[in-house]
Amino acid sequence: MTADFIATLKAEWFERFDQILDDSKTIPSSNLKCLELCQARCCPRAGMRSLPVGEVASPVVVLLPFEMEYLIEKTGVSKELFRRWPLALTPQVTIEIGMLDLGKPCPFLKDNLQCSIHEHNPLDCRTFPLLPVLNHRGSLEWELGENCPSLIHLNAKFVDAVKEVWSDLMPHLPRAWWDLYAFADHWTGWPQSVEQVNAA
Amino acid sequence: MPLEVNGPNGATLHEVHADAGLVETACELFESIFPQDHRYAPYVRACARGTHPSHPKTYDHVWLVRQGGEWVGVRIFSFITTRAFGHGAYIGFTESARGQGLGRWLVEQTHAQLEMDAQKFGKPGSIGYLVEVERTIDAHSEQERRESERRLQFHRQCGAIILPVQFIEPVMIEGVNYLSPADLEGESPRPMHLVFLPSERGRALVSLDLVNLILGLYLDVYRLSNDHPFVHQAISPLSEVKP
Repeated sequence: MTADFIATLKAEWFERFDQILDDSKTIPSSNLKCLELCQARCCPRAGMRSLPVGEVASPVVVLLPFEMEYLIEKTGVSKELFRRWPLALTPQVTIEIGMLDLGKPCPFLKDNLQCSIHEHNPLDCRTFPLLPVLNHRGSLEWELGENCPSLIHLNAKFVDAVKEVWSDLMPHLPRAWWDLYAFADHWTGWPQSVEQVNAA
Repeated sequence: MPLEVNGPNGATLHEVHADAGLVETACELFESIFPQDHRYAPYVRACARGTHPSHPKTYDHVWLVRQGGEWVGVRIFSFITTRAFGHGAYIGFTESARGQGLGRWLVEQTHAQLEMDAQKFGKPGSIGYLVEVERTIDAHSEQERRESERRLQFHRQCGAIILPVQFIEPVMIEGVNYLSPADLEGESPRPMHLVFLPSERGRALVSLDLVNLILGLYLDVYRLSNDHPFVHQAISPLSEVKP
């Protein structure tokens, strides 16, 4: 029963990801000058810890439910490369939400700071520097990643399209996922070694 | 921020001391606001002592709120003397006292007290406190679900961060001398949300030290051992770290 429930959810989310990627072909360009103006400030990567705070646009990527599994299927990477947070959907069903952070840096970032999976990268990456926030009334608000050096170039039509994508996902995202997304604002990734954590 | 003993709509704050007369009032109010937890009244008495041998790593507080000549609210919380944060065990008001902003005021006063406690114990200050909140998914009825959601929403509005931790609330602090297992027969550990309410100092942190928060609560408040399964479960997502 539980396995069937999870399999159904997973299939539904995979379908949504396929649709998002398909639709993204018609989404207007963001106009961000990532290659010219930035050095992957929104990609959690090795070396980022030593950057001044003002030079980090986002040290964390939060994946949607089953987006980690989708990426694994698309790229063949190991689950171990992601931080995996438990998210309880019912008392009996807990799924894992993938995250990349400074303790689990992005495995898809190449040495030249370009994304190796740009054609199907996570929605959180795809829509940055727009950041959805679920307010107290349960409706969506938007923030901007303030340290993105390309903000000034952000295309308004791209913004509208991104907002629509997130609005379409809203009914399918459990409140607990939004709590995790909000938590990520206060998290950069556990920096210590396994031994240090276990000995703490 | 200094403690403000005068709150909204004429409410006043009163610290309960074990050797003064308010302990029984606090226990009675506690039992009326939290009838399901009436067996934990000895914990309220123990906390009113400030320091208790069964709570060797916490400095405890019991507060009462008075309004219009009635006792309307109770607050029980502790500063964890080995860390730089606290634990909020209970906050509750009588039905008629709700919806006036007393809860938010009490949260602010809790932060102010913890800041003073931190300095008393030689820390630079308090980063906030942890609370455990029922999960809405565990509710057995629509009314229970709404009540859980109301509690969680109250904490969210106070700036709470819901921590992504598989947290199981132990039945009681290990080895206390004022409650026996027989007193708590029928109680069992429950999965809960672990929620952090950051103080101003805590909000300024770039990154939360989740392991410190989890261990502070499990080891120093509940007195579980480092290898307890609850501890292991809570920190397992954190112990998988890329070198």
